[in-house]
Amino acid sequence: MASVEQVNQKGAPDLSVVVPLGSRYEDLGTLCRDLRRVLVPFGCYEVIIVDDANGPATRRDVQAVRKEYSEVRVLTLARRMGESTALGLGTQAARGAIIVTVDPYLHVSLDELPAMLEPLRGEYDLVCGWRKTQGSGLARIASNGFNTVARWLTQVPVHDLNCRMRAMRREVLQDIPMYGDLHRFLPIFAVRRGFRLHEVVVTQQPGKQEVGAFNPSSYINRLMDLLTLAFLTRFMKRPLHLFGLIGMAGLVIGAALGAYLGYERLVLGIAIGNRPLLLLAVLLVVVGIQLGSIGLLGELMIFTHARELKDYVVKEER
Amino acid sequence: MTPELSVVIPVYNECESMPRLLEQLQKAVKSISGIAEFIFVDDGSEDQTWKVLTELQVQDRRIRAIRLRRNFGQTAAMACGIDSARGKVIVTMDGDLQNDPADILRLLEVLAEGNDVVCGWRSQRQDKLWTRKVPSIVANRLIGFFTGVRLHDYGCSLKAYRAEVIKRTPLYAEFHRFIPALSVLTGASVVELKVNHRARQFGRTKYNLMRTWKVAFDIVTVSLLVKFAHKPMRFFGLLSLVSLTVGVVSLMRSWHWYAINADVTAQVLPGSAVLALWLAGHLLVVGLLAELCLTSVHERSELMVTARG
Repeated sequence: MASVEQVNQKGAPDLSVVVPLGSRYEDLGTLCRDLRRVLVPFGCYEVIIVDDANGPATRRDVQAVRKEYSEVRVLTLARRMGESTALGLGTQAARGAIIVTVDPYLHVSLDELPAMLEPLRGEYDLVCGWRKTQGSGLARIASNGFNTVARWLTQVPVHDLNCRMRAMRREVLQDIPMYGDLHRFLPIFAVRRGFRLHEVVVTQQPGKQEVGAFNPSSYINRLMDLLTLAFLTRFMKRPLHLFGLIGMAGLVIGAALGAYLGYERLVLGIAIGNRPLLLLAVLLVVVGIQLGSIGLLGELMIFTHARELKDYVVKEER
Repeated sequence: MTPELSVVIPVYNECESMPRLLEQLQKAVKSISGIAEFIFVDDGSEDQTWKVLTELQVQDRRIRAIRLRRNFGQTAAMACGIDSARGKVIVTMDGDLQNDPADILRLLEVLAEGNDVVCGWRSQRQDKLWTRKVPSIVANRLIGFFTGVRLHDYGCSLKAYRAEVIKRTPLYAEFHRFIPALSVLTGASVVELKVNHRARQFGRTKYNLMRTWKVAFDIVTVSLLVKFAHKPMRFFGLLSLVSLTVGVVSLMRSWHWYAINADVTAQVLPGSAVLALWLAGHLLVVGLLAELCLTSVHERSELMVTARG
């Protein structure tokens, strides 16, 4: 495999496959069998199944699979945490130098795995699946829209944030502080930290629609996450650049309007008291100052914690 | 053996300059007692910089080479070098041969006189007048005026620090040019010293004028931080008071008008008065939040006076 910085202890596998289980999933036995078939040329590997508090039926399935396939390890969560968090916990427990994440509904056939692992032999650190093809109208549009907005906000060229089929070097996860649901946005974090991303076009299996494919509330949540993400990645160290810019814009426009109205009142003698424009001008000035003050507050926060936040990511040191 | 002196040089696409730079460094440190280490930080260069660096390292074991995953910016690269420096004195400089390593000895002498930070002053700059020198002069004046730390040349990378002082100074975003002002927060004494400047020999300059607005915001931030980081309530409280005064005066004026004319509808003042009062309340709350933010940080005490030994 490609260069790995960690010491390879005896018994540690080369590769870890993490499978988070939600309420719906494909037959686990088939999953493991297919993995065995597909991963043959890649050395010894382990499968980590994360049971996201699914109840006794799932536990039985999982135990059955564990008995039959020795490479399987099981993580059972006491409380439902959501797929992204479950994935995160699974990757933490992984021991391989390469980590693969798979979605249990098998939207993407496991046969695509070797093509995704190939770039890791070279210079890439993270490989993500990109489902370019089919999918029904509304869900497709929402998904494309979401990814486009993500690209625009974060300046990272990622095309399919919802595809859970990913392969990465261990360092990618170690270097990036992520919590809970942010695993969805792993490619964005990784690229911002300087890791190299490669996307492999994969085909979505026909007839397998995503669970709750078009769920408006979840998309709104994700949009909020995206906004937070974009802010954190681009402006984390410099909140004033964002708030100050918008604040100044408000202030300047408000002041300009105010000056214009002042001219009308003082020079032309027109009454301005009942003009909505006046209210707008004052409001813009006030909002401008407010945003500016929040920007400064942000700066103060960053400043006081500056020592804990490292700006840079070291690749090699000699 | 721990080195006495660490020279930190962030480099970005400077593969042609490095061999000559190393030669000059080697010559410069000959007259300095104690061991030196040269820390080159490759800030995600796209050319042969890393390769040249690893080759040079074989020739001179005093070189330490650090490579960042992508281009993080000069401040980050410098912070990286400073974090890994082991010397008691740290000298930072540019990797493009525009700083003269021969000046290092003089910087160290001034440092030894009891100063904490010695800043290079490029008294005879070898750059274009209107695009580089004039904006620089304006910026330096502004920074000096706002932060109270008046230097002639904030933009000169060649500076010498006592390690304990610089390691304690917060360094992030694009703040490397403000380090002297920021280190004053830890009670450091800052002086400047005239140094040589050479015209750029290889490669192209990495700066342009478009960054002006960002620098402008940074100046505002740094000057406020320097003045109020320990007591933000003084700043926000003052603004709040101003707003409060404006609001109250406007309100009283409106009441006066209302008493005479019994007509509040066509009025500029009440609306603005209310908003001004709102702003006063907001600024007060933000000031309190800022104070809250500070009390939760144990490092506050670390920001206090540098011990002199």
